[in-house]
Amino acid sequence: MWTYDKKLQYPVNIKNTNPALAKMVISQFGGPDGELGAAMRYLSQRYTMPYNEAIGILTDIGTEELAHMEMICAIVHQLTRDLTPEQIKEGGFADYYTDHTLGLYPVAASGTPWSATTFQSTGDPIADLSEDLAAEQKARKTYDNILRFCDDPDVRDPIKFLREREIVHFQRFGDALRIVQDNLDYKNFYAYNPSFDKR
Amino acid sequence: MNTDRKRETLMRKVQMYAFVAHECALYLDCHPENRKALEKHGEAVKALNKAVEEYENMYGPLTANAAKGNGGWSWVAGKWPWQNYDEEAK
Repeated sequence: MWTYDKKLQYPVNIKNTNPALAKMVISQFGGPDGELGAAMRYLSQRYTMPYNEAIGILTDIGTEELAHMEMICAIVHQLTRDLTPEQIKEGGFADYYTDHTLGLYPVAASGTPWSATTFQSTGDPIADLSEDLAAEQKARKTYDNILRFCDDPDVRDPIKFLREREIVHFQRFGDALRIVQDNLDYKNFYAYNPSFDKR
Repeated sequence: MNTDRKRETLMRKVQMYAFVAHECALYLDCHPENRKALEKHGEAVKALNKAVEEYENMYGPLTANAAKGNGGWSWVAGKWPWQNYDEEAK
């Protein structure tokens, strides 16, 4: 089970609102490579992972992704707090505002709502961990794309922290994949699925 | 078998006191001045901390930060909560 800590993993203190930037950052809440999908992916994959080290990594990174989702929401909230109707119009925020006002709703930058179709839980440890490695690189890519459009140091700082975490997670999933492969037939990793085939 | 039953009993204690504390917290969120609920919450947390300590001393950490450093990283050892009595990861 989970308990909640009343703190962010890394501080978010943004002085100036910027609805146009918020529309990009919100993709890391509800977009295809965002933190909500990341948490759901790893926490769903745990149940059929056959090795304790890999279960531990999925549990601990999946939990950290929930904390990242909270940081992204804090950034979007602070970028859109107390917007006036004029700022909403000028910042291109009117389409989001129509349905959600200034509430946090998981959507991609395109406005598409979050979908479980953005991730897999295959019941095959090599397939799952390979997806997880790709997921971390895809999230890093989104942070790089955001950073190119963002010159506010108050936003850059927490976004750079989150980008760095994607790289660390990529390393740790690499460790987990190696542990899984070390447990398999080294001549053919695909000879059987350790989560399904009885051996 | 005996240690399994002992483990289960200790876990039930942890779950029970954690649930009482949580239930009080939900009530207190909207009734923050209620003396009786405050008292009950305090008692439950005290009992919970004791039960957690008792469980962790015998069967290992319930949170990653409770893992003892000596003798290796115990956090990933042993059963995960969704594994029943005859399932164990390798």
